Formats: sequence, structure tokens, C-alpha cells
Amino acid sequence: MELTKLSIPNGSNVPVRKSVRRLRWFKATLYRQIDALTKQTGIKYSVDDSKIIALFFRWLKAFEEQKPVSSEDQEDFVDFASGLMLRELVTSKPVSIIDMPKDADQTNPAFYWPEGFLYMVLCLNIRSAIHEQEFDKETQVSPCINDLQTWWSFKENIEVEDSNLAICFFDLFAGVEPNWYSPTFFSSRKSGRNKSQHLKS
Amino acid sequence: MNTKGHPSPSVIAKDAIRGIRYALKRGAKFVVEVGPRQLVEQFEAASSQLVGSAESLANTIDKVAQHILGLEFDPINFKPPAFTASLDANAGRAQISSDAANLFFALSISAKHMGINDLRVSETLCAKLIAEDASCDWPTGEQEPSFLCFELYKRIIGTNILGAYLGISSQNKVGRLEDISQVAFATSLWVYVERGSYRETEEELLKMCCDLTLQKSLDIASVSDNEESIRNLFDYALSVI
Repeated sequence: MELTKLSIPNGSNVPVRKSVRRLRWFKATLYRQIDALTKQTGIKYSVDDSKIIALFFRWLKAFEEQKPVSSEDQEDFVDFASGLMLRELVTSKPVSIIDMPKDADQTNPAFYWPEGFLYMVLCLNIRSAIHEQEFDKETQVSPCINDLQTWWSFKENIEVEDSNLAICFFDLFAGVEPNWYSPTFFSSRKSGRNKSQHLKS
Repeated sequence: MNTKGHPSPSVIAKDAIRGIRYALKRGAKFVVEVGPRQLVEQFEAASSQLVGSAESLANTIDKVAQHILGLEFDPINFKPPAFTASLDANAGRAQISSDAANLFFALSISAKHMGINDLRVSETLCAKLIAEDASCDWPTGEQEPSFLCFELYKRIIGTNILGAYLGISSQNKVGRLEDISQVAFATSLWVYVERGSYRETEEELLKMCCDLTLQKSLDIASVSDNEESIRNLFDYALSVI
């Protein structure tokens, strides 16, 4: 299934990297993503606003605690912060399914795990908008976004093992080398990736 | 005489009725929760009757007062106070009255949303603050929102709009001051937060301000007497709501 390109809300002509740190912008963007996915898939969702507010502030705290000073790290930090957002979404579960099309193909990730798919697509779209605006870069997603096996692994891992692995799966779907060793620390992203590559070679 | 500075009798009456209602309900709750459990039969019956009568009386007061004085919250007309002076005395008085009601409800909703249920909010003192503010004739357009937030925060605390009900003293004075700071912070933030780009109702926006305030409650408590730090917190809060 193709990722729905999201029309990002215009938060008073503020760049997306700044708007994303606004609760109202984040909420409006989530609702837009839901509308877009409902049009695309026919799935109807319900949203718990109180969970959105709580998870947003948790994400903001994590974001502020690890925000790098160096401009060299900013591009990678956008990916990391998007992964942090995905972690908060899959942990808080602010969205539920209220209606699913009868003929839904369960081998399609969008129907296999609709909430997880929504969260992932939202974070990928926000990341993409920031990369485009700040670094003049068009992002691609990994082909594994359509691989049910990878989605199954993602769901299983974050539900049974460790919700922090959402950060790694975000990187995986975004086509970025994940740091499976210490996913929650931005400062150890480079060394963690080197360890992964060392094991592969 | 400057009539703008004097709250209308109906505002004073509203506060008085709210005080009676609170005392009645609290009294009834007290009898039910901590009254003697082992009473002789006749007193037990009398006690239950008293509770029933108090609750029924409180409800009657609610209904009558809502009908006559408009105590009910009206979400459609709920908006931040305009804080604008008017040269016309009658228009000025009506504006002050409506601003005071909005400030009162904002403070009450904030307290309730943050789980503070025994705080007295005075609409009379809200009207006094609004009237004084209107007579200041500030160049509000030239001021930073964080400055305006801080000024309002300081004045909400300084004018004792928030406090204990008459005859009811708080056992934890430090906790009470922190409650007051939080309610004043959330409400001041809501008054001056940027509007226009999003679709939240005013009540939803106010509750968001409360949630952010709760997130930052330790910071607010630790810097409550430092103007620069509080202004920095408002700056931050205005940028993330």
C-alpha cells in the first residue's frame, strides 16, 4: 500500500521542525493523518484526546532532554525524534479501531495492524516534511514497509519485548541503519550502529 | 465615583450563593463520611434526614441561583477576558461583568481539571481585577505575551481571587499556595496563548494549558517568587501549546 502524503497543517507559517513541538499542531496533524487513512482504507478510528496530550508532553520532554547542540547532528536527530514519537504512540495507544471494512486484506500491513500502521505513517510523514524543509531532501521509505513479516516482528517486539524498540523499527522503515543496542540514547546512535555493522561484516 | 471599580450586586450575590452551596454540600458530605456510625435509632434517622435535606437544599439553591443569576457555564460564549476599557459607563460595566464571569469560569475549570476541588474562586474579586486592569489602559499590543501572562498571574495571586472558603482553613498551607500558583499559571497562559490556527474550543484549549501546567508543576513551585524564571516558563509554555 502506498503511503498517504499528508498535507501538513500550517502553524502560523512556522517551520515544521518548530510546529511539531506544539501540542495543537501535533493533534491537528494526527487528525489529518487519520482522515487521510480513512479515505484510503475505509478504516474508521476513534481518538482519546487525553492520551494524545499526555503522550505529547512525554515525547517533548524526551526530545528536549536529548536535543543536540551541534548542527551536524540535526538531520539524524530528526529521525531519532520521530522514532521517539512512534514509541510514545505505540505505548499510549491513543487511537482505536471502530470499524474495519469487511473485505479487509489482513496480509496488508494497513489492515494487519491498523493502529501501528497509522502511527508509523504519521511519524514518517512528519519526518519527511522536516527533511524536505530543513535539508531540501526528499526521503524514501524502505521496501520493508510492505513486508508483513517485518510488521509482525515490529508488533511482537514492542508488545512483548520492549517498546523502546519502536525507535529501531522506525529507522528500519525509514531506511536508516537502526541502533538495536541502545535505541533510547541519541548520543550512542553512531557507536550502536557501528556495532551492528561490525556484527554483519 | 468610578462605578467601573465596583462589582455589580449580582456578582457579589453569586459569590455568596456559591459559598452557601459549598458549605451545605461540604457539611452534608462531612456528616455522611465522618459522622458517628453508632447512633441510637432516632438520631440515625434524624442524621440521614439532615443529610438528605442539606443535599436537597443545595440542589434547590443551585437551580434557583442558576435561573436568576446565570451561574451556569456557557461553553459557547466562553472566551478569554478582553481587558479593554470602555468610555461608555454602561458598556464598560457589561464588559467587565462578562470578562469577570469568563475569568471566574476559567479559574474554576482549571482548578477542577487539575484535581483541586476545594478552592474558592471569587467572581467579585475577578470583577475588581478586570476593572482595575481596564482602567490601566495598557498598551497590550506592544507587550510580549509572556509579560502579559506574568502580570495576570501575579495579580490573580495578589488579589486573593483564589483561596479557602470562609470558615474553612486549609491544613496544608504550602500545598494550597502551590495549588493557587498552578491555577493562576494555567489560566493566565490560556488568556494570552496564540489563537487562530487550530480548531480547539476555548474549554479544550484551557484544559491543554492545565495539562502543560501539571507537567511543569515542580518548576512552577520552585521558581514561584522569581519573575524572570516564571516569565521564562510562560515563554516556553506559550511556544508549545
